[in-house]
Amino acid sequence: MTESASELLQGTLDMLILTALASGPMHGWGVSQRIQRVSRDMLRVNQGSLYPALHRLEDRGLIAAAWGTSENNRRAKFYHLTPAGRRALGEETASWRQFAMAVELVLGTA
Amino acid sequence: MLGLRQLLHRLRDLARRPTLERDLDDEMRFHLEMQAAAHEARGLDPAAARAEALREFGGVVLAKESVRDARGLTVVDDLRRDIRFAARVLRRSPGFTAVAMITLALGIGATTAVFTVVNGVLLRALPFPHSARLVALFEHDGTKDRMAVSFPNFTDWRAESRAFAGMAAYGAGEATVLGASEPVRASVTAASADFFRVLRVAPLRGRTFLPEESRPGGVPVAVVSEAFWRRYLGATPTLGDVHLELWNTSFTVVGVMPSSFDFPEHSAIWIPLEPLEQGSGRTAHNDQVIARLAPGVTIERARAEMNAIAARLHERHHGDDDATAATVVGLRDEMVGPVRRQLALVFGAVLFVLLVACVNLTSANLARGAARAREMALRTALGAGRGRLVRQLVAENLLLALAGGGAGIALAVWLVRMLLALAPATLPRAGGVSVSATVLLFAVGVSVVTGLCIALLPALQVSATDLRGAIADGERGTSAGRRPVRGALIAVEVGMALVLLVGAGLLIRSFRALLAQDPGFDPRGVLTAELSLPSTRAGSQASIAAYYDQALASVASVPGVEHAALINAVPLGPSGLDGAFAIGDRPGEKGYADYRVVSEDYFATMRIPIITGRGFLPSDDSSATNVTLVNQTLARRLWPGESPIGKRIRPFGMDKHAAKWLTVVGVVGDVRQRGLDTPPRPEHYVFYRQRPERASDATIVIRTSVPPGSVAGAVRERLRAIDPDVPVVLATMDDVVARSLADRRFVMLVLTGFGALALVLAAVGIYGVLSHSVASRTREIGIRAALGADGRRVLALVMRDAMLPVLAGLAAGVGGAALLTRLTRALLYDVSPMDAPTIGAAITLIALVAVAAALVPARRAMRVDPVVALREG
Repeated sequence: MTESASELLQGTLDMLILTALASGPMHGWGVSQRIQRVSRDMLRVNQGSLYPALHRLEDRGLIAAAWGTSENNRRAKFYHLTPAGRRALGEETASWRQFAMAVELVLGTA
Repeated sequence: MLGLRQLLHRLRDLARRPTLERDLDDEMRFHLEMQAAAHEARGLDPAAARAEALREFGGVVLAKESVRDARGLTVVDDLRRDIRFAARVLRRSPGFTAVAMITLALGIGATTAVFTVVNGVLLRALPFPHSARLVALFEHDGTKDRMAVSFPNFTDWRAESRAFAGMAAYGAGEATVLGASEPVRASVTAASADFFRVLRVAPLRGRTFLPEESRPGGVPVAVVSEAFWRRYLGATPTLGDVHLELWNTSFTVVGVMPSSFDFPEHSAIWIPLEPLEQGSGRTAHNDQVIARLAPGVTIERARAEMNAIAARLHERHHGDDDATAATVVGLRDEMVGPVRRQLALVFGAVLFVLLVACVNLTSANLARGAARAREMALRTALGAGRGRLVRQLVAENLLLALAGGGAGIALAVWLVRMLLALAPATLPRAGGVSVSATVLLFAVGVSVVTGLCIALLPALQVSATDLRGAIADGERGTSAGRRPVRGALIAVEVGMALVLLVGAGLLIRSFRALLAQDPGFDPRGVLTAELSLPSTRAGSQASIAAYYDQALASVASVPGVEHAALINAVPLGPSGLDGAFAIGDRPGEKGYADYRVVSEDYFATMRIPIITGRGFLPSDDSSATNVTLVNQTLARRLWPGESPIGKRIRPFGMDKHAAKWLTVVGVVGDVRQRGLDTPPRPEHYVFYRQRPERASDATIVIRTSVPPGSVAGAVRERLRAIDPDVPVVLATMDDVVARSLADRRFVMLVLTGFGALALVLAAVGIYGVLSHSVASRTREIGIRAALGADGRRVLALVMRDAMLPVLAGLAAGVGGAALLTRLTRALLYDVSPMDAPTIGAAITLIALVAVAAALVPARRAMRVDPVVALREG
């Protein structure tokens, strides 16, 4: 459950995952922790949507996965951005910024 | 849409599915452990930490399911689930399932059976390498359709044409064969040198003809079929020791053809043609010609070339060559041409039956769909997507159709056997008709298409259902709206059943008209004994006549026999000889007629009237004036308005007396020689004591005062006593007549069967739809009854509902029958394709059946108790 802040907008989760992975390969738990930390706990990713999103992105070829060893020496699945994913991230970030700016403008004039 | 990459990805995932599942588990477990560890680090005890992690995760199963969905793995799961669910649904309503399965099994089974025959006879490639390149060739003289080819013309064709890789001539006939394990009547084919090379079939054992054997004066050799070799030659490995005697000549067996080689059909022995054809003229159209197109040559080019050659030959041999053109047709088309129309008609009819079955199931499905509207609506409310429900319906119907199709295949195996038993003996390629892989593929394909068809309307119905309405109203809300659709379905099935019944009715009337057709002789109480004199006896005229003198006298003395007589070809039997003759009082003109050799009692035996003049007399022996009798058609054609008595004719090549004129001494009644549906042809008769040479193969006809079958044994005994080497085939004349109608009888019976089947299916359909409609209108009927409508009014109401679509269907059916007349006309005899009594009878029959089918539910409606109906509704 996204308990705090907000219901994540449709498609936003994908962008957040891609952003998280832009800093390097990490496993699913790591992705959720990173989003939570970076957003100062305002965004909490529901694991029930995290894994489907990861697999969906993998299916679309935006991220790829490989099994590796975690920081505590456990077998874990690490995801990383593919070139296509990096491109998609750039596009989504740009369009998100545009959207956010537009919303800000509207709110500002209200 | 899925990209190719994604598709591959998915396929890979599917293949690695167990690994993926394990990976998914691992991934989830890892996540939970990390989360629990994080909670523990914040000070929770391990159990609480784990519980908290699980709570946050929000259901592992659901998460995994969503992951699978994201990866597209659910398709397979869904399919499996759909099928399992469909099976459960079908099991839950065994009544519906049973009726549906039977309907589908009948429809698909009948269609598959007919397709098996169509495939085996019409579609299957001939069993020769590159058989599509094989053609048959004929000559034309500008008047007749086409003629067999004369040997000299064939030789010139072969020498002058460039369009063919090989060309061969052959002629088939029956002969008595001595020298095998018993005297046997066998089909013997005389084939030219390249025959086996054109067909590209190698012998199973030994060899085919050597070039020096395919030459006049060559050593007589024979190739036999595998069946003949096994049955009559004991499958001997030493072929060179076997000598078969045919027409007084001894043939050394040099080869055996494999059983797959059956050309021309039923041939048991092949001998070289060339030695037999020496000296035959260009008007002796004796031979069938086949050829293999040269690589890259089209049939049109071959046709053009052959026409040019035929025209050139006609020019070169003017007067001696009556052929002016040539035809080239595909060999398979040539072999199956005569039955194509009939089989196409039967196939069309069976498709109608299948359609009626489909319509039936569609309307049953609609009725069920209405009853299940609440179920569907609830499932939608519980989260099933429309697509999901549609898929479910498709799965249900596919399962039903495949199960029905499976039963249909079993039924087809049996039906094919029945069809072949009904089929005329002349059906070409019947030996190769079997339920093959092609047929099975066809059956599965038909089942799938059928399944999709019967799911179509119900699926549309689900997509269009107003869910809230359905849940609130139960089934009542939806059924009224579907009534026009179901009415239309009833109309369609009634229409199709009517078309089939009219077709069957017309064929039955044609058949009756043919049976009532006076053949010009009386077939009842006549036994026929078909004989074939071995060459030892057929050698001289005297010995032929002497044999028959003895045989006729002996057979006539059997108790119960009134007359016994001889003819070289019985009417309605295998076609006999015909030929041209000169006319005494019209020099330079030619006549053309069937040529019959008979004994003096023939006309009395067959009860053919002698119109004027006299019949043959014992005194018309070889020393007396040569005489002939003509039939009425020939008399009318040659000497209209004149008496033919005393006129003279001289056949050119029919016998060994080409120089002797025959004097007409009488006119006899016409008989239908070639078929009850074929008007009498010109015919003349000669006397066996004067012209016996064309009677070495002949039939003794025996008029009996007792049932003809009862003297058969005695007749066979007498004939065997005279000469055990003469094979005898006995049949009653009624059998001969029946055999001449066998192909019509086949189409008639099959079509009648299909018509009856369609009628039963239509009745079931009407009953089903009306039952459901009455059940769903119980409340309405109850209200009407409560408001004072008596039973009769209710009955009228329901019956009107049922009969309106039936009437519409009947009208549509008459229209359909009118549209299809062009197809049936060629198969009809003495009846119009829009024969009013037939159509009237079919309409009456369907109307009666429809009323009967509707009456059961209508009477149920009549008995609706308003109190119960209102309380329960």
